[in-house]
Amino acid sequence: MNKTVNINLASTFFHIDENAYSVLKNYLSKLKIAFKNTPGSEEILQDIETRIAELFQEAKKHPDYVINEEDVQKVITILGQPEDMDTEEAFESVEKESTASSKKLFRDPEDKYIGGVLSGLGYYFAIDSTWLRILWFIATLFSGGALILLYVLLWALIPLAKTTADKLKMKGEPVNIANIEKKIKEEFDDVSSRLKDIDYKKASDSVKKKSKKFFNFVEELILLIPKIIFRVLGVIFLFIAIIGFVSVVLGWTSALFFSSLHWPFAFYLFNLNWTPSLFLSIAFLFFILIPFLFLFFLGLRLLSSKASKLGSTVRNSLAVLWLITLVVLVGFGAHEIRSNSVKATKEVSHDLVLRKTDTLRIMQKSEVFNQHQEKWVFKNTNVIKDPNSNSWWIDKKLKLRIESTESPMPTLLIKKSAHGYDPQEAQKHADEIRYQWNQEENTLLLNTQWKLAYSEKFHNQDVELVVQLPEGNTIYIDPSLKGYLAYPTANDQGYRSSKTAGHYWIMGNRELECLDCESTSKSIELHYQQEDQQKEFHLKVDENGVQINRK
Amino acid sequence: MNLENTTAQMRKGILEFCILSLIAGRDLYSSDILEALKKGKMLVVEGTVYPLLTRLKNADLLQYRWEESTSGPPRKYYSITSKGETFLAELKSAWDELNKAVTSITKK
Repeated sequence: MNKTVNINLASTFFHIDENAYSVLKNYLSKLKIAFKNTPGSEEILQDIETRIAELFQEAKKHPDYVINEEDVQKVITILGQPEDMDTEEAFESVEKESTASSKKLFRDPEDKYIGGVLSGLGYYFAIDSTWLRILWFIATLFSGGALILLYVLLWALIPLAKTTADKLKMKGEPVNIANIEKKIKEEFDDVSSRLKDIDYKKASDSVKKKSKKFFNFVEELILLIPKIIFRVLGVIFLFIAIIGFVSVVLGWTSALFFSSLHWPFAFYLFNLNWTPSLFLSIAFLFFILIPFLFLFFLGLRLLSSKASKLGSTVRNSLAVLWLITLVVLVGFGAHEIRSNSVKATKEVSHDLVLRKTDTLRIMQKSEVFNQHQEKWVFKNTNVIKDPNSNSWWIDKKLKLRIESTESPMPTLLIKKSAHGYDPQEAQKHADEIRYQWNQEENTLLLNTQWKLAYSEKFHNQDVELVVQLPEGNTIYIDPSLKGYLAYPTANDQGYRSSKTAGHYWIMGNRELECLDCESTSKSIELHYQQEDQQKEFHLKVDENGVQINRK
Repeated sequence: MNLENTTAQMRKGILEFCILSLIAGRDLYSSDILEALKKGKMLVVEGTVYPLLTRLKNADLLQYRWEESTSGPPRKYYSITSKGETFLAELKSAWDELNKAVTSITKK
């Protein structure tokens, strides 16, 4: 017994039995899918339906005739299956679309450990998911677990490839009947071959087969080695490239916006204004980033020959851009070197008003800067912006030394030096250094920082201080100056210059003699005579004690 | 190589030419076209023709009109347009050249 269905095909009425109906319906929906992307598909389907109606009309032997399955099959044979029809164009257009843009990101339910996220990503970037997993695992270890969060996020955001069409889209294969059928067949074959495998394994337990298998395995392994090396290199490259890229970008942006270490600010000091300095720092950024980018794509290529390749236009323009940045940076460097090629020094000498018997105390004096002042560090030099005086404070390790002099008065010698394009320019830059010091009674306050006007740029400026002491004068070096005594100072104790701080010294014949040092192996003699020879003072300190003669 | 596949490809290429030629002779309705093509062994399955007809119509090479039929649904009668005629003439000269070329090559 069979149920009969009434259908209306191209405005013609037919009785059709249930089986025939389902076959016909199936056929029509298959056609609908096949012509989905063909222009005018509705019209084509309408024409085909009309033709089916005509053929049914021919088959109808009497008005009450019920169309059966055999009739439907005959009609299908005449009209043909969709793959035999001219739907090639449709296939082509789908294929183009799929490879170009319609590859979609899905989670892969077939090859998964947790959520199938990496497997899906692997298809998307055309990389073997195993390598992606290894990379992800290493990166997770390094990221301190942050990538776990990212994984969960991706898991939640990326849809699961549920249907066969989704799976094809995930793999970037065109979604058409042939491929869907192929895919379903593959899945079926997979199951059936697994079933077959079980039987085969049972049957092939002999030693011979096992050994053969073993050698096949070894052969495969040997063939695999270069592949593995390439892949491992690929993973390493990718890893370096990603870490490098991210850290450079983060470093650059944070340097630009947040930290005291301003790139453009730094360049501001290099004879450049704001815009060219920003431009230069961007050139610098690209100079570093582009090699990382190439490394990234090289890594991808090593992982998979199918991985997305850099287009030749993109590649060439990146290479050109890199060369441009190189030229810019080299040009800038050359300019800097040339503009600082000659050195000039300016010496200023100040007599210190002091009685011969007074001890000259030298002390450090520093500016106090608040935390909010813009500050920048370059080669052991702190540069602090001082908007009050429109100048930079240069806080650099100032060089100080103590020398003997022939002149009767102690003097402070300030040696300012700078570099420039030519001697005149260098001299001009040296003149522009503003050094501040002052004397309060017998105390000499030496500033450890010096100033440059905003208009003065970096010219390798330097300041050196020399305290010149006549023979017989005493000096006390305050411990605050300990770090600034850079040059060896001749002394009878053989101290390093920094160790001379915190002691009283008397200038002897070309070298300092300690007055309060622990070591007493040497004797100290002090002789003072007034000009009219009426008063005389003689002091002698040695291992025998202190001897004082006065007149 | 699959013989069936190759011949099918060959036929597909010249099917449009054949359809245009048939319709240029006189106005035809789709079943007439199918019959003529089948007689000439140009066709394996009928389904191939419908997308082609639609394509030719969309390219303004063909047009159609509806006519009532006594024995079934209304029929689409196809006729060639002037654009179709020029196209057909071009196809014909191309076919002649191709034919000559293939003959001369395969003779050797």
